[in-house]
Amino acid sequence: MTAFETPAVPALVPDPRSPGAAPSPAAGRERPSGGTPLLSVRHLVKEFTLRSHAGELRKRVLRAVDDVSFDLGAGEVLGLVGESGCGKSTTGRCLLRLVEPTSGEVRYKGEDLLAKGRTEMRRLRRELQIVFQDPYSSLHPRRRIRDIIAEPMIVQGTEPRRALAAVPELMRTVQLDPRRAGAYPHEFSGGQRQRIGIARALSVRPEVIVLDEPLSALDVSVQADIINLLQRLQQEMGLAFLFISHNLSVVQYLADEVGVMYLGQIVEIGPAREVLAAPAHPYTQALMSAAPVPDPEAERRKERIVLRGEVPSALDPPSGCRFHPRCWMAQEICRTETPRLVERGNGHPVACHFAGGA
Amino acid sequence: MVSVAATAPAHGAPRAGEPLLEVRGLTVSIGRGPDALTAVRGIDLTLQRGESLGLVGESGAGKSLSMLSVTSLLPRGARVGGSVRLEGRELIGLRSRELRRVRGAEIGMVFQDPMTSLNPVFTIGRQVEEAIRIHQPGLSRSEVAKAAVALLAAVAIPAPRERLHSYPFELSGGMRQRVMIAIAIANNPKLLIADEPTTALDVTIQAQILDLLRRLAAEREMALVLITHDLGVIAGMVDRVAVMYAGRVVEERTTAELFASPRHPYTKALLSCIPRADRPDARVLGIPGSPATLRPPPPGCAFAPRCPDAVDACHEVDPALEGEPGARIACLVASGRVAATRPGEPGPR
Repeated sequence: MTAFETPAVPALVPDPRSPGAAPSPAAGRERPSGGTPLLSVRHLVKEFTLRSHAGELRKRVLRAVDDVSFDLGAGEVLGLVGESGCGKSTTGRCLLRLVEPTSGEVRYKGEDLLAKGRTEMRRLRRELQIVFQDPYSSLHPRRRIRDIIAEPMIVQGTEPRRALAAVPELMRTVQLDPRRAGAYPHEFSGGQRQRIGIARALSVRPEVIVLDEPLSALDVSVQADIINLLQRLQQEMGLAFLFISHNLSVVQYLADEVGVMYLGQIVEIGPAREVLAAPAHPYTQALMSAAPVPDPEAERRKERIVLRGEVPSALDPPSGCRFHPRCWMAQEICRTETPRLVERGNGHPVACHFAGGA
Repeated sequence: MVSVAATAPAHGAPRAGEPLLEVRGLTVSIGRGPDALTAVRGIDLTLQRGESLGLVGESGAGKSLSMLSVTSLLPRGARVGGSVRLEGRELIGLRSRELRRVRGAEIGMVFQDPMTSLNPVFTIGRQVEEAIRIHQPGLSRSEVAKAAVALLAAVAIPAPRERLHSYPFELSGGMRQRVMIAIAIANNPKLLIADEPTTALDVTIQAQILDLLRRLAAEREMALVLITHDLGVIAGMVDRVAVMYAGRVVEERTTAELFASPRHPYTKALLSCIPRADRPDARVLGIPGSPATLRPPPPGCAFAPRCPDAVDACHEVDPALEGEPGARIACLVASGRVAATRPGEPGPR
């Protein structure tokens, strides 16, 4: 069995593979919200050291997030899409330091989150919250709903009596019946539990919420309810979301900007409409083509890109462009040279030597 | 409660023009006494040779249970009523030895999770060879091994000869699902039932597996029943779709017609729930209310409490699935059997 352990590498050691001279892809672009971004991530790296098996000479290092940079503006929704193991969830967790990044920079309102001590980080988590994928395992089974929702407020120093008094209003906000505040998680359906998780995140009035696959465990009609709830909350409260999902249609529906990840790296990032309507990276094109559309006519006409093979191991990523072994456009240069994530005439940054028809 | 839309003809020996699979008034009940729950409440389905049918619905709709009862793989304590005929032969009530001959030989099954469907302590080769040997006991060892390699090649597993010696944990989810498909088609079944075969897989791997299923069904002239919650997957895969809600088929149409002009209010509502990459401006609507509870079963249409078109009669009468195969619907209002509420008139709750 593979066990992860946090490497002894201190935070903020500059990544030797991403020289400071490299221009930050997301920097310098005009933001819909204007001004400086709320959250700014630069050259984020997370390595996991895999405990060596018997007979193995060296510890193996898995780079789950490899030089990821992006900005999130106030009131903006950034979607992170990609398949299992691409590092999208780890990226989300690094922002809140639920897993400790190996290197890189995460700035929130200009403050460097990775330099904060425990107490300060706890204070900042009032503004940065997270909602998890599995509404079954992310709620304590032996605590009442009111205590679950009130907990972040109490942790942040609100007097328990006042925190509990705020619960009914929070439950109404996520369309739960406040009379059920005394019930336990198992008495609720999956969709209702996800609402409880959202109410808990909202309780401290955060500015940023990381939503880690919040819909994947839910039925189609329940997904629709949660999508609408999230959209309403985001607009009414001016929240910024980092929306992590493998479902491109959902991301297209909710996100202003989208970043596509493959093997720990962002391969394409830009306005959601642009990236998903006219994908420039071959991997984004393949993802869009593979996403089934509920229209038999379109499914029949669609030019299907069926990728060969599977995602290679992040323990031993391919040389050059990491997508080249599966790419139908790959040339010699793709094997030898890593394409940088830069604007190549598509209106947004793309990490492909041949994007933009070059 | 069991509603048979058309009177089923008497069945004798298999004859030409007879459907491959004919399900009539199928019910599945779980538990006993006050806890008993009828999860499948009388469904009728017909499948011709080489045809493909999609079963779509949300959790608890009864889509998996109804197909598990076709192969008698239901959990212990489940009771089945009604009739399931494969080429005219009744499967319900068949003894387990006779059933084994049907399962695997005439019906192949693929499930959602290939890791729990494969035995972790045996090699891929042993499991594929077992499937061949059970139904073709006359083959020699080398013939069985050869057939196993051919099967793995047929499901596009690279280096099939080497893979025979691998264990399930050494393969990726997509590769394991290919092994499951190889086992399911080992004896050239006439019917392949695939229950959420790609739900556990990533989208690019899902595309590969769907491609494979489509190709195998065509090449081997297999009929295919695809169970899924994903309307997108259904759209590109099958000839006909049955939409299930609360243990009943509520609409059964050809795939093109179902998506172009859904008629049952539940089908319409379900389609409105999915954000569409191809229609970025369409709103996601959702379905008001909560999923139907079947304990106790609703007196009328199970969807009536959530239905925007429901009239008084909908809460009292459970509509039968009526119409020609490929154009059937179970709705009093949409089929015109009762008048819809006029605009302005308050709809009953």
